[in-house]
Amino acid sequence: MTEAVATIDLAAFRRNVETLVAIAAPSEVMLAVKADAYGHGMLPVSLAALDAGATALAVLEVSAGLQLRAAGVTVPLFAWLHGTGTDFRAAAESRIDLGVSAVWQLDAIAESGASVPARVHLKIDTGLSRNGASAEDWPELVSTALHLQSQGFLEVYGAWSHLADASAADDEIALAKFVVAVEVATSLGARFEKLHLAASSAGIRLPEARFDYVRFGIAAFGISPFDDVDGQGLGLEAPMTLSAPVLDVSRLPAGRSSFGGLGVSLAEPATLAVVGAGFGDGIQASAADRAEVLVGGSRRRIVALGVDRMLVDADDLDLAVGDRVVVFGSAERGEPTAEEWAAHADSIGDEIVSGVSPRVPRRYLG
Amino acid sequence: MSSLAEALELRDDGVDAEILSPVAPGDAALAAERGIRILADDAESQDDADARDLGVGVYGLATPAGIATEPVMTLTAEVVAVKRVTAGTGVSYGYTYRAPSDTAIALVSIGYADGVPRLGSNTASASLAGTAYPVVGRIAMDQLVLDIGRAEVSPGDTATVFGRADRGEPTALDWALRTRRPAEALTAGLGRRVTRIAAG
Repeated sequence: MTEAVATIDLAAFRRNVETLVAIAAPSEVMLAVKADAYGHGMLPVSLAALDAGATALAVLEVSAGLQLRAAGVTVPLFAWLHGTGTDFRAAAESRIDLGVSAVWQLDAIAESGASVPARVHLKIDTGLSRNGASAEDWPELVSTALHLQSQGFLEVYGAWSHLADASAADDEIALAKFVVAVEVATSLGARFEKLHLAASSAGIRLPEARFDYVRFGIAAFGISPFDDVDGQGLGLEAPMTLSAPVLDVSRLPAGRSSFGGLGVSLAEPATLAVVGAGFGDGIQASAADRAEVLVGGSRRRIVALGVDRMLVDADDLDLAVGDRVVVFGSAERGEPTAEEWAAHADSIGDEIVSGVSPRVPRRYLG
Repeated sequence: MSSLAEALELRDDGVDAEILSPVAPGDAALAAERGIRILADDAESQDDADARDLGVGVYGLATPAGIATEPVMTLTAEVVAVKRVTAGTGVSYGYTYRAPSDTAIALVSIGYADGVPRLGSNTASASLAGTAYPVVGRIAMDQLVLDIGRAEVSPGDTATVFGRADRGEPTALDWALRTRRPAEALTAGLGRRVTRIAAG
């Protein structure tokens, strides 16, 4: 049993989405809720996003889309990471739009036996070298899709890609490749209802990439997609606060000793607190020797990190068992942020929040 | 703060991640280079560390007091795309990897939200049919890319992120050494999308 809790402020999340909807307008916002909404909880976050003006949800996988449909979500849903076992029939019959990157996926959709045509968005690889048809393979993907459309298996509805965010110049090149790919597809007979390319980064800084949908993800979770400004600097708030209780406090002697099941070596006597969260809760061990937590109103270093416990410097603090320690949370409240943790972990805030373990309960405010 | 500052300096000097044996000779060198202390080689190993050895030893992530144990967990994911790329092509966010020559890449459907550390980008590897291939470009939230050279790989093939060295697979210890965390943090940190299947 863990003592850590992730508190999700849905009001803060909705304010972020409203900010992003205003930036994107008149383009619509398709909010990315992949990875259980970046660790924030897919269903509550999805409903809050729709309340705040998003008009579609990007779910990564068909199975996640089916969960949202089962919960009564009716807006367009978009799934694009497919394996050979993906249930394309259920996707089509549940009106989950499919991002399609390869002919084998089109064939699997056509052979799925669905009672209705699947709505597909064809993906061109504009430089990220992950999913998406390469420029050489793109005409065949488009032609095959149009052929299967004429046979009633699917509807060619959108074209899309994914930017690499390597540099503004690289994203401009990718944008140009996307425009060319759409022209090629149009010349082959495709008529796209929706085009989408930008995620958080280009959605904010590259207006020409916004097209019909901006697929905002990380920015809605209060984390900047840029290196030169943090989420707070973009006017965004961090909805997630990860906290854990003080379980014990003790004055320890110099030398090696054990406290809360963790070993520690002290040069001088020190007061340490055992706090009920560890790497089993998703706290990044790679950051633990540099990151700080907020305890008793003070920022303190982590002295040792275990699977479900950590030892925190508690010298000169008046702590009681049960006091909450904030691992990361809100910059406005002076708490360490996921972005700070990311810097200490040589990573990005996306990994810090999405890495919070499934065993940590999510509690919702607002 | 003097006492704690010194304790933290000690941590900075090498106890930020305690990786346990057994280790291959290359791993020992890498551990030394990264300032990671290998407890089983440490004459000062005390009761706590021995107790922890026993705990992780059960999972095959360490050898407690010289007792050989086998890795229990194998983490796999499906190859969902394979494509040819030409020399100079950038791969994944930020183009931190550019193909040095014409090659092929495989997209594997697992990423950092699943517990595969992003620090493994351009340094860790995953295996296909018992051969290890480098993870190239940045590991993304739900995907990573392998440079597979001339290997024959198809969507639907299974990639092993970590498993058993005797099957030619990278181990959790390999990943731990390259991503600044104990091996048990890897296995304890897997995400919601990862299905656990009990075998044997």
